Amino acid sequence: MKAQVDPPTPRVDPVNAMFFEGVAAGVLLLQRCIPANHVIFYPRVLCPRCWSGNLEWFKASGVGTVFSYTFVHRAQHPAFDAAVPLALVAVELAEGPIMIARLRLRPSDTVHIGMSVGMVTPNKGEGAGSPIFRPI
Amino acid sequence: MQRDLTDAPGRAAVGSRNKAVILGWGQSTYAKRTEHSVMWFLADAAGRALARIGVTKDKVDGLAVSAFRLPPDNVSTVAEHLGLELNWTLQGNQGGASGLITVLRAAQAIEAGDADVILCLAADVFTVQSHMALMDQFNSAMRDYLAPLGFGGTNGLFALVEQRHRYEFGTTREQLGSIAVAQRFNALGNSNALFRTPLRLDEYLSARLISDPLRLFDCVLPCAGADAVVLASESFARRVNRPPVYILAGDEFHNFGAERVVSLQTGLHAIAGKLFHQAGYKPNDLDFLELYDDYPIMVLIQLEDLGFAEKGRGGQFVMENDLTFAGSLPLNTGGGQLSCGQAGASGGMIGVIEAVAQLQGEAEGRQVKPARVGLVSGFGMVGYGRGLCSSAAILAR
Repeated sequence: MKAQVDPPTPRVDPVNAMFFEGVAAGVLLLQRCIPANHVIFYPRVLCPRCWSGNLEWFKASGVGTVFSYTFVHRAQHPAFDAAVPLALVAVELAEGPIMIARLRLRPSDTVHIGMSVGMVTPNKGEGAGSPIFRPI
Repeated sequence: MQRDLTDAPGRAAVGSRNKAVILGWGQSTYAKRTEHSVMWFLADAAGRALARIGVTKDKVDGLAVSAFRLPPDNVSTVAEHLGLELNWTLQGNQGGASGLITVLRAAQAIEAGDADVILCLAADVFTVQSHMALMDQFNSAMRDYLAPLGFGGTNGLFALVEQRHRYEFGTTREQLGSIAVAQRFNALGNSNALFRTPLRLDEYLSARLISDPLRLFDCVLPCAGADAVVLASESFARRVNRPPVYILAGDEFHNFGAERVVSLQTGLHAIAGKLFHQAGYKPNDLDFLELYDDYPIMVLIQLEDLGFAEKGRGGQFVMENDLTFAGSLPLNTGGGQLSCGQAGASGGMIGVIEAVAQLQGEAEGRQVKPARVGLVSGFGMVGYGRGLCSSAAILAR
């Protein structure tokens, strides 16, 4: 039996720790720049719009629509060899930013641009630090 | 350096005392597998370029190097290894846009009088596996927010782009396939292309899925190779018996569309207008195009960004044109990276050397006639979903 290869893991640091805590719990935590009222993803050290460091974390709705999607057939890392074809999605979050995430599909599910998706709690083995959505 | 401020601002200003010219090019034999190092390929391409133009290494006083797998070495240690004592160096750090950007910066250095003869090199040694491994660590955003997802490398990211372009504009697989097929035809005349058998459209359409909708022939093959260009001052060039190639205009743009993730435009959109204005040409005046071809969808997007077609009509445009080297709009006349292979950062230089070869009448087997003026683009440094860097230049003989 082939040894299980560990997937790549993110480097968690004080800037992005809140995001990954949320991912593990199936909750979407995002940064907002207070002066610019601008929601930010991926987590940053300052607001990319106005350079303010006055950022807060808030609990986002976890909901968005599919902006684009693909089914990855050739894994970029051996840890995903058994998972392909793997549904990858660019989600336009209700709060504004676009996030690339995994899409969890049941056998009967189809995907189309514009469909609604919501963030879910990852199952064991679905990859540490991987935001996961499903159709809603 | 004199600049005419009444014109739109541009780069590599013409008309200066030390106007820079491109003297020649060199290319290593591309390989799917090699025992040689990046340093070996850099040296090999450098030697071939200098041999082609009949200049000895002691004349070289500037060096630019672009190579993803250069660390722990850098342009200074390359100078050390190659025995070059230099007044000017540069390390390209703009992904596939690096090669052309280093050429533009070299031209500016020569025009400023900082150097007289500059060697611009790009090289890499890759396989499919080592390239995927690089993508997982390419930068912090990819490491932290893409690699853990199993994103499929750049194939996954540009599949998202093609899928969205199809949704917004109806771009078809047949339209994209026509690009790959025409480029492969051009490669038949390029003895250094790794893929030199004709590609039929039905083969393109039915090939193995890589990241739906991208299939095998949408993707470049990571390989080993190197490309080199030599620039010199006009006064030095007069002592060398080579047909000079001039940079009429050149420009770059970085992080175009800040905070976009899936983008249907590149930085070429921001620079195309003033590029053509400074060169004094329109898109339809060009004899050939060498566009950065990591994927057919990105070639199509660049055609739109450059103004050959309105955004979204790139598919119709490619179907209305013959993109082979003897056709109505010769594109990637050596086959491009899609046919030659992508030797890492060399993928950003292969279009430059092909353009120079065309303009100097050395594109044996695929010579565009006439080849008076052409455009080269560079693109790359993928971040969170898109290529961050773009470069373009209009070259003429």
